[in-house]
Amino acid sequence: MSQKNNCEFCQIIGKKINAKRIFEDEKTLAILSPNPCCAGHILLMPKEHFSIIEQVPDYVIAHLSKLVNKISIAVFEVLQAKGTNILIHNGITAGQKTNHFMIHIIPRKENDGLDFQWQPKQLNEEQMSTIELKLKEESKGIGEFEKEEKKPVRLDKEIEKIDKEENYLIKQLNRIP
Amino acid sequence: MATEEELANMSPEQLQELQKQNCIFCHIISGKVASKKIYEDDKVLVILDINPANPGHIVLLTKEHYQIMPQIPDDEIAHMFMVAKAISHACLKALKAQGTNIFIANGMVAGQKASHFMLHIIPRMNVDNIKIFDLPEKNIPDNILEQIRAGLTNKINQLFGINTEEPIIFDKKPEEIGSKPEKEKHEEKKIKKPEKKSKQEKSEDKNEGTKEAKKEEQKAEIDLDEISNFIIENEPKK
Repeated sequence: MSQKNNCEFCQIIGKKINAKRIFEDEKTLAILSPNPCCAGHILLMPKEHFSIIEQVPDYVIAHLSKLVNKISIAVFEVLQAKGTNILIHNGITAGQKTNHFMIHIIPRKENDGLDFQWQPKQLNEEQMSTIELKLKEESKGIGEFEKEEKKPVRLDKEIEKIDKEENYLIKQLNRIP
Repeated sequence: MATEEELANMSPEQLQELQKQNCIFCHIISGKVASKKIYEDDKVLVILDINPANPGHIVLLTKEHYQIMPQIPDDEIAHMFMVAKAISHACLKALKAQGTNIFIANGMVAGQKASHFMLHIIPRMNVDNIKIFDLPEKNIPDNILEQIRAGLTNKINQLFGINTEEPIIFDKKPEEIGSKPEKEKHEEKKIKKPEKKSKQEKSEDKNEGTKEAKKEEQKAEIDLDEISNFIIENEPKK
């Protein structure tokens, strides 16, 4: 909990710190980065505090990724970007600077001074095969993904809707002479 | 290989088929080209990159041939990211990596090299000396950020079909981002956008095949052409 209290982004989500919000729903928030690497650098994050991707439930990842696509399309059209980079830093070693898991969406233009091109490393056949085997072994269990459990709150909302519909029907009925 | 003249006379479907035939990753997926496969299901294939940024550099491919992200249906994107999460976890466990970078280059200017859409997962070690994913910080004036915020908020809401109170008006295009040839096009937008459409009109617009609208847009905007057609230089002229 203390981690959450100290988290700058949890405070942004809780509206204790101002930020340029561009999209918000039940589970996620997208803002313009306070420390942008270019104009239009967007951070998309789950509202719940997670440090790394392993902690984020699959259904939240699924939801985030759909938003990534939509925001990316908006970036193309509004900023006339010619490309986007989607980047996740997972762990301090990977360059993660904040405690809150987030996805970077970076609009790209020609000659914008950004470069994500890596220098290929040379590995021999044996090294590649070892890595392949290790990863294959570890990836065997992939295939089942968590689904969201329905919350009782949702049921209430549905009931409300039905009520409204009923009222609507009753009104219709009343109109009939 | 087809000649330029043949290319010019092909229908979009034929062109797409040709792209598939020439796509090395489609050949990897069909098994014609050998690769080191890590994971496979009905939607995605995960293989080792032959030019790795770091040992264990993984490439996640969609089995269907897509060039850029906007072409991919929502459920496939969601599936890709969920698999990416699992693979990232496998990297940490199997390779004792201390972190991972998940990276997508969407469009040629973003560094996309192949015409097949892919997602990179790069295991990271403390001493691997990879610095490309450290993002620089720039000072961007607040008024420009505010314009971007307003523009994006409206567009995203529009994509989700949410009615916004703020009208879609761009008084001035963000200076840093705008390039000269697009000025004319922007002026057109200025005229069109302030006219608020009624709800019905909006929904009708959406129903009337977004594909057609997109095609038109692609013809009008040279930028989008460049993104999606970086294999074919010439559009079919019919």
